[in-house]
Amino acid sequence: MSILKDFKFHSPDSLSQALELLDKTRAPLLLAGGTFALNTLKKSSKYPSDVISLKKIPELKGIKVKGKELWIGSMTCIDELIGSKLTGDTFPSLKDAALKLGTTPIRNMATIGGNIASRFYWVDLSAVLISLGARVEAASLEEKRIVDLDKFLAEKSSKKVIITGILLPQEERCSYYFRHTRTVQEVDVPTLGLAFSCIKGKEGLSDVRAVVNTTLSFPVILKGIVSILKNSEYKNVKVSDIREAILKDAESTKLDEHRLALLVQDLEKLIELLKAV
Amino acid sequence: MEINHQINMIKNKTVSPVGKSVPRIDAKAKVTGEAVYAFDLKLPGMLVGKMLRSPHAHAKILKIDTSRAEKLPGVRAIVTAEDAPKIKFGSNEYFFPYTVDQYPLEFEKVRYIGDEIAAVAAVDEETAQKALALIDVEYEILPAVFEATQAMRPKASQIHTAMNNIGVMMPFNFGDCDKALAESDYVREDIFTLPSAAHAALEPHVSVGRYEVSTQRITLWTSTQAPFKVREAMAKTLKMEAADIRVIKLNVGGGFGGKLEMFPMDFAACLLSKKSGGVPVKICCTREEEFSFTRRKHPMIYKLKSGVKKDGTLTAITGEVIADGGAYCSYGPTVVAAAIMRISMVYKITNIRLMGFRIYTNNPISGAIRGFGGVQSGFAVESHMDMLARGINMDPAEFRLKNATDPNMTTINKLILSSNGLKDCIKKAVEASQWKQRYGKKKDKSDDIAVGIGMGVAADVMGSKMYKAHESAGTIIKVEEDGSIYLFTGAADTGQGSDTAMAQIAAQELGVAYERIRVKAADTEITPFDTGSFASRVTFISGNATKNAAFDAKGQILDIIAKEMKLDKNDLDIRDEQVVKKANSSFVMTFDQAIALCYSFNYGHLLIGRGNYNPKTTPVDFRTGEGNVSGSYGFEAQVAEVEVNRKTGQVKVVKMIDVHDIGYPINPSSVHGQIEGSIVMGIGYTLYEDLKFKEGRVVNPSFSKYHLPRSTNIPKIESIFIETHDPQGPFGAKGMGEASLLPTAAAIANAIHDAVGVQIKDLPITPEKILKALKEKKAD
Amino acid sequence: MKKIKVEINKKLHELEVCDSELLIELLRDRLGFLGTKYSCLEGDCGVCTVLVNGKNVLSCLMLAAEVDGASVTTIEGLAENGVLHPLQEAFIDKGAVQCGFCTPGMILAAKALLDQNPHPTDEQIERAIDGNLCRCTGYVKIVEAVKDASKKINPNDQISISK
Repeated sequence: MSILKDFKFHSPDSLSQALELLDKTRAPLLLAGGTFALNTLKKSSKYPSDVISLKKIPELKGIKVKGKELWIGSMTCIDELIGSKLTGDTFPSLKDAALKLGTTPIRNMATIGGNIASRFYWVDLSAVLISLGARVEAASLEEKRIVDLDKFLAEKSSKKVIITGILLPQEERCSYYFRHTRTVQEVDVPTLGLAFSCIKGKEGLSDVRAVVNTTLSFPVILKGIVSILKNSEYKNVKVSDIREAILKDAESTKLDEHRLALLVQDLEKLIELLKAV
Repeated sequence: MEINHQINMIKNKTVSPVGKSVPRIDAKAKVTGEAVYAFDLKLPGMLVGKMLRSPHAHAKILKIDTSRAEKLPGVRAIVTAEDAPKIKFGSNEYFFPYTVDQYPLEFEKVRYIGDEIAAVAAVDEETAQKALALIDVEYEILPAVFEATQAMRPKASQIHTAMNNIGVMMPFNFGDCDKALAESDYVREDIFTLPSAAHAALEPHVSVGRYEVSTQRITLWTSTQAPFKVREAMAKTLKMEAADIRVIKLNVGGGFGGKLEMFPMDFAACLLSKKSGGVPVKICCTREEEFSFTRRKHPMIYKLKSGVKKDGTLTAITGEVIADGGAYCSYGPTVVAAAIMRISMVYKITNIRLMGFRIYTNNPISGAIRGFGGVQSGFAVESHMDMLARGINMDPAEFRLKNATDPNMTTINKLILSSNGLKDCIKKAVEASQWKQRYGKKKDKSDDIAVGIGMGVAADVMGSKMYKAHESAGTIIKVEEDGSIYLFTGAADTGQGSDTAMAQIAAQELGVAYERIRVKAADTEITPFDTGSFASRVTFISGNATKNAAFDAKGQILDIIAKEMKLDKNDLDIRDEQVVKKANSSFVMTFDQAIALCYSFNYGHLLIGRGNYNPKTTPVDFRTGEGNVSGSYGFEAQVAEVEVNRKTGQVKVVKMIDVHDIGYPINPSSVHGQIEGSIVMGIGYTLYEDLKFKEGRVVNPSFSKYHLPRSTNIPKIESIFIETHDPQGPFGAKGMGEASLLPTAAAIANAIHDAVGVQIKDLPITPEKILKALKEKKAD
Repeated sequence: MKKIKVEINKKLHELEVCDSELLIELLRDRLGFLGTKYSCLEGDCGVCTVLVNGKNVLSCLMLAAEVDGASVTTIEGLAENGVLHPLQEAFIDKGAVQCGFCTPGMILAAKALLDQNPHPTDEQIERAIDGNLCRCTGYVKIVEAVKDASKKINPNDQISISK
């Protein structure tokens, strides 16, 4: 009534309806879980003319296996991500990141699609999903496409696109998520998040992916690290090697000394964890 | 004796309720959502009010033009200083008249970002907001100063008329400190810095004002801890009589010292109602306004230089405190006094010289916040004490025990400590924490995680007089014909449980079941005077008034029974719902029968008990610091157990042991609740909270950036009572409100030192500070 | 304006709400359920917590129109025919209520937990209410109250091993 200024509310019950509305309304705002949208709305200088809720669209719901991939509907809530065996058991780092996201009511309301679409530099899920090889399904009136998540986030965001789902390759991977906050409070915006995954076989590590968030406006893939954490070589890696490897990406990651120290620490710990698996 | 009178049957009779954890009298309404707060109040025709606040930290007001705003449809009234007599008010007026420095609505000068200039009442929020933007104010910007030490410099911008912006200068000087320091075996100097903090009560400040045109009387509903204080300030600034201003406290969603005085929005809500012809006006703060424009904790720089002898005797404590008071005085003097005058309650010291300065700056107003200046002092002094003990290789617990004050002693500044369980608190804390086996010994949890324990002790005033000539509280008890009882108290329950405690005390003294008592509190038109809920005074002062009122009522009842039964009144008592003979507890009649007798044809005596209590203190001379400021003092010892991650610098408080001399607990559950709440608030101040400012503006005015402790951050808390049965306290009780907040920061800092060998002297203790200190230590 | 059908405290309401009306406004201002408060309007404090389809959510971050077809529970819906819910009883008994401003949201968050997990550990309770700030109690007695209520609600069930 008086807290928010007026706008027109729509709750389409199909994806095509939602895309039509996105296209023809003047200043649309997509509403997923509401934890970001309805919060930032009040402070925004660009007030929406129309708010389009995605809650009733069946094409965005569910978690299902599609061939060799797991499909997670973009309107899947964080608590569902935690509770589902399909996500939680196969992708421990995803479950870990979801468990650390916000507080209980936020986890009940927020969605995976909303988290990614927010493009806040500190969101946890984007980094983790990239490290797991995620691809994002994005739909607009013109096309439906599937693109690697890191590429999608590096692109300029479009107001006329709806993320419909996330695709994760179903592989046996070791996956970890390290998250640092300024205080012991998990609700604090993280100072650093490191998402890591790899395949561990008899010959050691392969297909290593390390992604870091909070340093730039989108998650950054660490390339230097990949070169030293491979095969069985990872077992002999020293702290100085780690530091050197990270600094190779220093330009692109813009890590400061404090975060660098945390990252080195995390990678040291990671190597211990990998040795123990 | 004929009893034709309906006898009241009470279910769940809790007799002799004092000392029992009876359910809170207001809990049922709160768990069902039925309890009404000023936040919920809706009156017919009610308008939305909003304050116009200065966007500048320091400026002269050249012109205020409300004409454009007045033309906006939906605006019903606009007020400025022109609409009332221009009279200043202050919150510490009685002892410090020079601190009366604030107009409710400014018209000459603004001194902080948020300083109130005008107010608007409109039909809805949006219109009120638009109207504010249409009020034209012409400013001449003045240089602003945001840092206390800068503000003290000779050429600094003058904020009020106080020279060098020194709002309050308070000395505390006894003995010969220089001689004592020279004779010490070990002397050390430390500087501690304390940040600001927010009260963060969940209910924001809310004022609902209604002016009755025909009688020219005001009713103000406000979220407050001190309705009588608000009335006093309203009467002064509006030039009205007290009896024409009714201030009503409903349920209050927390105060913690932030709601202890009249706010411009209280004043404005009533003035707007008057100007709109008697329509009620509600002004409510948003969370951002709460953080930015209400009150904050005094940031302080606390310097200490003290000496000890080899055997552990404290020889002298000297120091200086510089407090950043912000733009106006509020409770500044009390805060400074609490910051420098508590040390002699805790330690036997004859040479002590402290100077407290409260400096005006163009920051938001620093005021009272739980513990007054005792929290800042607690951190500085208790950290310093640990470092002194370490300097002579003495166990910090032993050191404190050696220097602790005793019962029945008078301190150097003439405080009369009667009941004093401090030494017992320390001994018990040592025992409960296995101090002797664990302190100073390596007890790492893992390679990365070190464990440490640390101690802090404190004392608190329980019935202090610092605000008015008298500090009396009053209670009235009305026993109705059917035996149900009303208790009228001025004490303001803001969640700490004073309503319940008053009911328990009354029931105990009167000899009846707790369930008979209904409490009506904190309504200036109906209840007797009470200064308010602060300085942990309510159980002791208001509790004694209540006990006296119950005693009076009981006396009236026994008078009549004695007359009727031809007995000696002095042989009778009322216990556990029965009138009995004191000597052998033999039954005389039931309480209900006694009431029926009082109201019978022959007697027709309306039972109205009156009680008054003014604590026995001596006036404090604030030029020296001498005087027994309180009727009672509480004491405690805390031991914190922490885990410190050497790699990340993160600190987790795993356990807090609090041993407290509370005299006697009126309601043990309530006392534990206050202790637990205070400890968690203390942990917040030490580790998570940090109200940050930039150029006079709060930088983090939201819960997402100002972190309160959450349920996932709490340690295991062991709360232990030491019962010393205060001779003055009602049933031996002293009280509990703030004390458990005082030593917490130091206990944690000292525990961190025990864990990893670094002493952080600057709050909040962040991982960065610990890592930096560890790095520096390694380099040494 | 939007027409919605929403069940609130087991009673069906057919209403017209403004497009931009928040759920907290629907409850407090339109329907008079003043038990639910708010304190930050940003989703950080949890004071505005209500249950929507059994889950504890923040009513300041939901639009009224979004609860069309949903079932909402406010604090007023907990007691039945004047009989308090075991959580309400436990909060009173254990001294978990001080100023009471966080209490309605806190109790509902606890209810959502107990409905899913009848025998939570202390850690699980602490996590379930991590979205609800309390400045008075330090949370200690609140956790005790929820534990106590869990024992009363399901006294005959086997206690599950903590996860």
